Amino acid sequence: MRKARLRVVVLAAAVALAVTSCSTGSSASSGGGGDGKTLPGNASSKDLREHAVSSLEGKKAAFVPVGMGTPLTEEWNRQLKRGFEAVGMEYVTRDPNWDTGRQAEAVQSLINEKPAVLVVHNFDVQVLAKLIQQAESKGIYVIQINMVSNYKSDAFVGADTIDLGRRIATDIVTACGKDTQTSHEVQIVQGDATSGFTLDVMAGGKEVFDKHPEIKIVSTQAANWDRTKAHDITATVIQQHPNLCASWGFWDQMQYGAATAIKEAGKINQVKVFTSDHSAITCEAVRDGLFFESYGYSVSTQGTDIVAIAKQLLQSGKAPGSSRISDFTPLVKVDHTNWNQPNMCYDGKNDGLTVS
Amino acid sequence: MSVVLTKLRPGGLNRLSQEQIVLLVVVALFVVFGVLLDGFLATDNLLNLVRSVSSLGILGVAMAVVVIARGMDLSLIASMGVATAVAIQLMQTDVSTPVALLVGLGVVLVMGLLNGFLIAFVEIPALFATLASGLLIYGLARTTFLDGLIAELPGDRGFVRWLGQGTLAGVPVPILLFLAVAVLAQLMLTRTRAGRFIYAHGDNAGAAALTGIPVRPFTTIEYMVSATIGFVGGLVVAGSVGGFNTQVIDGSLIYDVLLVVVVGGISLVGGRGSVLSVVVGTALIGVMLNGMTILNMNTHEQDIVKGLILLAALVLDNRLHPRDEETVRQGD
Repeated sequence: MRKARLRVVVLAAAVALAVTSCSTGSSASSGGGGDGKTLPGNASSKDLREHAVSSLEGKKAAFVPVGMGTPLTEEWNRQLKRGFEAVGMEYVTRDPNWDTGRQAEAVQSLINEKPAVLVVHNFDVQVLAKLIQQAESKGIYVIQINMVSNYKSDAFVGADTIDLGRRIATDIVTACGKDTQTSHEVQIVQGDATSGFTLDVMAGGKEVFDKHPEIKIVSTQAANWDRTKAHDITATVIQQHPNLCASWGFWDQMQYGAATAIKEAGKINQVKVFTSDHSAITCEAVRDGLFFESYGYSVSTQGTDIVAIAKQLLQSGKAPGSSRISDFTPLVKVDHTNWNQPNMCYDGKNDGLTVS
Repeated sequence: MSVVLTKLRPGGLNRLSQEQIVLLVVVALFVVFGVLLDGFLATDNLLNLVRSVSSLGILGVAMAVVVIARGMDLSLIASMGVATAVAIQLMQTDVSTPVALLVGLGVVLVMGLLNGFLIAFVEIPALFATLASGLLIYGLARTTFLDGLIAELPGDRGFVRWLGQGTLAGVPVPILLFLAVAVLAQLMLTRTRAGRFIYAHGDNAGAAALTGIPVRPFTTIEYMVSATIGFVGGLVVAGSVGGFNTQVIDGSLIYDVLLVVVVGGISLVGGRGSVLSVVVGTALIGVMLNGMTILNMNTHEQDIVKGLILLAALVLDNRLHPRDEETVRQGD
């Protein structure tokens, strides 16, 4: 009964949102989110400044990653903290330390605290889907980063994971396809099997491999982003398929373990190791010949992009849940030709960018 | 109840210990995989099979020492993880490898001392004392000393890398370390007075105290020895993948360790089993993991198999060591 009533309320809210978002198309109309104001074109500089300051200052932004302490999440955190605090916003993080239950709890408690902006890094496609919806209906702008949920929120900032899968698969076909004197055997080391990242990269890869039936995927195993698991799985696979041509893992931190296993088996010159992300370990591994290539997704700018989108949302006068922006950050291939270029890799401690 | 179960027990099984039954299962799986899976019996695959579970085996031996003494160390992964990560983080500075390792050793010894003190002198049940101390040390380390989730081992620290990736006469070093730890622990448990005390303590702590064994200080030493063995396991993990991810502390590794210990026949009521039980349990997990990877089973299919094996082991434990008045009472 209560559920039914809740559903009616949510539906009514959704209708209201749809109506307001339709009416905010013109210049000076009032919207539902932020403080509901937008400026006319002839507003003075002072008005412009005051509108920005009043939309942002004193508001709260919260970040819930899958887990802090990796170069990836630390780099985001640094950029978010700097960006939000620079405009006078309060910035908080909640660290679920790779526990899905704790992540859901953290988001739930933040919904009650009602920050203006919530940045989430989804563990998988399902766990936060309902909560993101709930947050938006409570008037919180939700921005997802790098791993998307089944429920799409105000904005997504991250790699174009489908294209990422396509590009790496294409490079694998170049290295191991029918024009090469190789076994055409490829190993895939997934992250978490139900992560949005894994699913999209797999989908992109499949598109390419379907057109190249000579490529034999000899193993597809989930190492759950864990280096030791990737190592142990790969150690077995390389024994079983000694002529393996390529090993493709979905995150540099994890795939480093697979590369180590291949090196231990004495096959690092034969097996080409593909991965994505560009933390410091990627540049080291490319330098040491452990990685053949990795696709970075401009992690150092993702944090600043999120801040920019949050500022835009807060000043737009649009209601939370009425936009569906996606900001796919540029993909950059890191290989032996360019790993030593400045800022090619980031370490999560110092600036990948020269922004102060 | 136990009378009924005794009647139900098949005569043949009755004469075999759990250790021997599991060994038979391992051999059976081995034969099945050997026949069905190409390349399973290749020397390289077998070495790789043992190599991939050797750190689990070392942790199993560590756990066995306290479980045989009717204890339990849920902080084992936390203390080994924190000590390993601390040592590696020191190696990122100018600190020499031996000093960094000594600091790591210091961490596990303090942790063992704390656990032993809480259990033996404050008389908190081992389960709760170690659950709390594990959370405490991980939380403290992450907030004060450790830089992040993953401690990257610098490329020039050859010794630790060798522990995980090296070979001696063609045999991977982790396997040799597992063997060395297992043999030393077995000798300690069976050939020394300390080992006899551990069994006596596990069998009946009260009686052990009456016969003059200093049970309380002894408990402390057991936890210190266990944590030290755990540290060796941590170094193997770190060496083999060039870094240590402290995420494992929050993960399910502790249950895998307990699985290895219990499956092999070290009873949680103490005083039973030996290091051989751990070796057999580890071999079972190793053969299973290896076979399942070769079969390219997905995570959920693997979970089904692991769950079934654990259930089978618990049923077996229940039938071979039925609960009775003697074993359920704490401290008898």
